[in-house]
Amino acid sequence: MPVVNSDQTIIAILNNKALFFRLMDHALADYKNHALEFTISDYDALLVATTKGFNDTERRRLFDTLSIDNLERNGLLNYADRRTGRFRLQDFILQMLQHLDSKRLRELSSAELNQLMKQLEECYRQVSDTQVMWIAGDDNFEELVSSVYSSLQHIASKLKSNVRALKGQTERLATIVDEKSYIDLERSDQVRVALNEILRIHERHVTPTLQFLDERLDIRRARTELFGETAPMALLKKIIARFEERKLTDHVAKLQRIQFHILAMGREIGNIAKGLDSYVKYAEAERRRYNRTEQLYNALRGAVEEKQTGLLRDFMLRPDHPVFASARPLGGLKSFLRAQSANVNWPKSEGSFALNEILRVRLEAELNKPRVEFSGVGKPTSDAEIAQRKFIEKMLAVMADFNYEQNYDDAFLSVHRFLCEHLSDYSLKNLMDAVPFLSAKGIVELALPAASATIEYKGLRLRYRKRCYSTRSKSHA
Amino acid sequence: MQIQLSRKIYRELINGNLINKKIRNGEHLEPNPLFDELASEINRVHYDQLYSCIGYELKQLGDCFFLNEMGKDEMLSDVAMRIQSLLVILCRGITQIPLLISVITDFNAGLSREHIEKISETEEYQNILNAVGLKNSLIKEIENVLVVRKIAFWNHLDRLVLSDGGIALLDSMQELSSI
Repeated sequence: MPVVNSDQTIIAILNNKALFFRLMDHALADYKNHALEFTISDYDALLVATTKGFNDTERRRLFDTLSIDNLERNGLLNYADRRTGRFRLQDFILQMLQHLDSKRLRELSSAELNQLMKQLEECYRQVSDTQVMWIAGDDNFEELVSSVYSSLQHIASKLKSNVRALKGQTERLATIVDEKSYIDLERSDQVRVALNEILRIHERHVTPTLQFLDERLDIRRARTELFGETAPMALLKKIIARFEERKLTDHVAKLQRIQFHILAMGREIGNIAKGLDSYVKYAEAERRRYNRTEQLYNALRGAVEEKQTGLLRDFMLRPDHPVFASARPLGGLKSFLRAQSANVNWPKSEGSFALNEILRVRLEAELNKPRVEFSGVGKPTSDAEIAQRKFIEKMLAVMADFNYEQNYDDAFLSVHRFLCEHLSDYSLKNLMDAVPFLSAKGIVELALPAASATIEYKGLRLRYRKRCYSTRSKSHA
Repeated sequence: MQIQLSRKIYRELINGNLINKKIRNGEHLEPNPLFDELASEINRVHYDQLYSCIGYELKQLGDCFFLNEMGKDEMLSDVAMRIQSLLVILCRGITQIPLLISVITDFNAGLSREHIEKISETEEYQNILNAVGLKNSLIKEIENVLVVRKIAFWNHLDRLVLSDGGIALLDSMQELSSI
């Protein structure tokens, strides 16, 4: 396999960065893959996909350049484990790729900032070491100076990358939030996710970085085995002060340049924090509202469930239940109009005329209303009623002579015949008035088998079901 | 005091409605002259006195005014109970969709009728509404309780948005310490 040199290989990587971005996205999607390892099979598959449309020569050249072997040969891989099928690019290659797309830059977390802090502390310990002779040319001194520069430049570089990452991320997220469109549910969800992300970045990256870079803030950090609690920037000042004490002005100037550069990043981070301020406040307000809503809802649901005893009564909540304390500002808000009577609407002009007319019509109607005569109890009011009363009295007297001690197969016929003989002005209509006399003295019941009968008398006909009468002493068989 | 405005104010307040700082006019919110009339420094004292003379207390909550009967500060009405229940259910439903709660406080956003229908499908919410005496559908009760009393309104996109009073009440509910 032909060997491709490092320059060409790196150029090829840059020209095909999309392939590596996909690998990185895939690795980042696996939250357990903190090491940012890639699988060889994924890489090969992506390489093949990338060369679709290439002619044979171009395809072969790319395969040769970007093969795992060539990358390893050029020292661009950290390691390649063919047994497990995984490999890792060198840090500087990964950082270079991340640099090309600021969205991919990783922000510095508190843990990583603490690592930088330890580096500063180690640096300070070294410059405070009394064993070191501060003489130019002395091996220990030169190594010390080289180590100090290396550490500070490394810290500056990490912070610079951090600032770039934060800027990229926050700009992207701010754009999402600013374009918020509640009409589109998917967009609204993106806004919600973006706000949570902004909050997370602010809490976990921006604030710790600000604290790291604040020279006035003496942060309480966990005690290290070297020294006590000191702010990182104060520590940096002390390191430079050591060189100042030794009157090494050259080194002081160079170190101060690095220091100003680091502090300038503090201002940049501060600007990012200011820019995020409104979003953070909005996101925090949303989070508080969410938490409080859950609280209120759970309390309300709990109160309702307590009342549900399976009975169909007493399940309603009352306004004086403690769960409604939040609505207290409204107090007794309700429609007060219903509690009041109707308004008195008096016409402006000719009000009394209208009233007089109403009264006149009503009075007339009242005067002409027929009087209702109410009789006292027991006193008849008309001749017809008097005649009726007298007839009933006559019937009473006549029926007193009826033979109630005899059984009759046809009770109605027997009574009819008796009344025909003994009651003057008797009519078939009066028969039913006389039948209750029988019920009072004996038992009147339907005859068995059921049979119908008819009585005709003076132009009237009565059709009825036969009833038999029996005395109370013995029942009719 | 302007007599015409005072009469309109009385009709609103006596019906148990809120008077909000802003009212909807087409696609915009504009200042409510009734609120300005009540809130004016010169008039406020007179309106307070006027309503106290007829047995009411003129109250302000955030950017809205409403009435309470005098001497009944400690009593919460059924209406207030139902307002709180509806607001809590709406906010909870919104977070479950999921959307941001500010969808209901932003005039240009708002909660659509479809979203409200979706919220009303949850049986738990219906149980809560029944327990406070709201037996109709959620959207109907929102109309009867919140929209009629000017605690919420339908914006130009036909979506439900809280009025100034509704927002003030929601903020007040959020601020009170947990039960």
